[in-house]
Amino acid sequence: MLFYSFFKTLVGKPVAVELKNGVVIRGDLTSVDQFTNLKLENIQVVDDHLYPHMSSVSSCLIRGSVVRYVHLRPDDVDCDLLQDATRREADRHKQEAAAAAASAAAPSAGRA
Amino acid sequence: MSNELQRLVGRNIFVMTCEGRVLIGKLRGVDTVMNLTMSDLRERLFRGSGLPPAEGAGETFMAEPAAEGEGVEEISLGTMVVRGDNVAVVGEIDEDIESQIDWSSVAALPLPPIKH
Repeated sequence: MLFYSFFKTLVGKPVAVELKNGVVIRGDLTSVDQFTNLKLENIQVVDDHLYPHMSSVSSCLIRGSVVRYVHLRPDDVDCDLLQDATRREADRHKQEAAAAAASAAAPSAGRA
Repeated sequence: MSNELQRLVGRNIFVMTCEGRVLIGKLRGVDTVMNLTMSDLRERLFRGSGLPPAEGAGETFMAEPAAEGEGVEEISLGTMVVRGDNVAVVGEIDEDIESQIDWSSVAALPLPPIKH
């Protein structure tokens, strides 16, 4: 869910999305969902002489599962904040896993 | 996100599938897993043999006519359901731009398939 929140902060910003077939689509990010499906507007395919297939497409929705990379402008990302958030989320997962293990162990100990 | 697609129901849309096929047709319905029902469906076959003629302007596809037998061919597929996991990109077609393009003179290689 962290990267869903992260992508929400990028709404309105220009991005370039590289698909898993090598096609790169540039455009303004207009919305994102929990599957990281991305909606772009004012799109332009990079190398459009090689890939004229989408030349009449003005905006598109890219399925999250076919995205290889999302290229961002460096100024649009606060790396320190993102790293902190990532660590916090990792800690939270660890604590939840420990709590789940403890509650799973407790009843079996009671039965023994 | 299906709201975004719901908005396109009744419109002419572009679909790139995971096999690299290009489908054009009218969107009739969508669901939460991106299954698409489309009518008046056409597949655009790109069958250029190599690199297109000129480098430079993005308009090359308009300027240089395709070699004999290399232009885009359209085949009618009627009404179909495209399963969501086979959908890569759904695009909104700008009819003004679309009407200006003579697809039969466009030469390009087929899109590569999506490799997970």
